[in-house]
Amino acid sequence: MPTVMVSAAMIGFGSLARESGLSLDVTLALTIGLWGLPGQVAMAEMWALSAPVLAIVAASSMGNMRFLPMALITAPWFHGDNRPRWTRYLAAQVMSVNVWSIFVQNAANLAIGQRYPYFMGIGTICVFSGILATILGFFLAGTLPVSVTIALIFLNPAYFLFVFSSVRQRNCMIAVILGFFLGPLLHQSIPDWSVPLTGIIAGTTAFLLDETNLLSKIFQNPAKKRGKNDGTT
Amino acid sequence: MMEPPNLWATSSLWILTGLCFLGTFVWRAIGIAISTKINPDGKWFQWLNCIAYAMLAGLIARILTSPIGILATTPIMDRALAMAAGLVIFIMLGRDVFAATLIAFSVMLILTAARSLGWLF
Repeated sequence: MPTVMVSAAMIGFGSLARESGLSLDVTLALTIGLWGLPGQVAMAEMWALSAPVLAIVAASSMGNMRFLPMALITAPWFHGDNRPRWTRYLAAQVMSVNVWSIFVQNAANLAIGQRYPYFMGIGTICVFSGILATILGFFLAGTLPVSVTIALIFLNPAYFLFVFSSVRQRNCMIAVILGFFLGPLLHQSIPDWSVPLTGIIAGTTAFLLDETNLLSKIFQNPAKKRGKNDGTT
Repeated sequence: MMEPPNLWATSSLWILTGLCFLGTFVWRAIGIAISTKINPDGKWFQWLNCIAYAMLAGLIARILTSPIGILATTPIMDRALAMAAGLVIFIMLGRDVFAATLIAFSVMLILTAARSLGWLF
C-alpha cells in the first residue's frame, strides 16, 4: 500500500514538474534528492513562476522541515546497532512519511540488528517506485486530465492525514488533533514560521496534557464523584 | 498542446536543484546528529514524538486548507467534502487508512471532474 501511495503522488509530481518546465533529469533528481513532496512541489511551482533562487530554496527547505523531528525520533531506534554512523544519514535520506510511519509502528517489535535492514528495505522499495512513477508522470503530463493531476496531488496529504490519525499512542493522538487545528490558524498570522511553531505549541500541549492526565481528570472525575455518591447514599 | 519533453537541464537549474537538496538534507542531518543524546524510552523522546506528529498534522492541515499552486485552483469546499467523506469511512471501518484515502481521492476526482465539465458551479 505505501508503494501505491508513493507512486500516485509521484505521478502527480512528475506531470506537475513537466508542466512547470523542468527537465526530466532535474525532476528525477528532485524526487531522489529531496524525497519529500511539499518541498518538491514548492520547487517546481516556484521555478515555473521564475521566483528568485533564494526564495525557491527557502520555500522548498521549509516545506521539508518536518524531517528534523522525524529523523530525531527514528535514529534512537538504531542505538546499539553497530553499523557505521554514515548509514544513519543514508537512512535519513530515504526516510519519507510513509517509511517513517510504518517503521515507528513496528520498530519496538524488531530486534535491534533487524531495524536498520527493515527500514532500508521499505525505504528502497519506496524510492524505486517513486522514481518509476516520476518518469511515468513526466511523460503522461498533458495526456492526463487536469482533474486527475489535481486528485493525485490531493491524494498525498489526504493519505498522510489518515496515517497520522491511526497512531495509537494517546499523546500523539492529541498532538495530531491540536496540530490539525492550530496549523491553519497560525498560518493566517505567521505563515513563515507556522509549521515549526505548530509543532512546538501543539506538541508540547499534547505532551503535557497526556503527562499530567489532565484530560482524563476532566472527563472521569464527575463519573468517579457520582460513583462515590452512589456508594454513600 | 504540450511542448516536447525537455530531458536535460541547464547548469543553473542543476545548481538550484543542488541547493534545494541541501535545504532538505540539512533537516535530516541535524535530526540524526542530535539523536545520539536521546533515549527512546525517556520523556524527551515522547515530547519530541508529540512535536513531530503535531508538526506533520499542522503541515498537512495547512496544505489542505490553503494550498499553493494547482491544488489552490480547487474550491476549499471540494477539499473539505473529500476529507469529510474519507473521515467517515475511516471511522466506520475502524481506522482503515487505505479505504479512507481511496474514498477521499475518488470524491475529489469526481468533484474536480464535474466542475471542469461545468456540471457544478
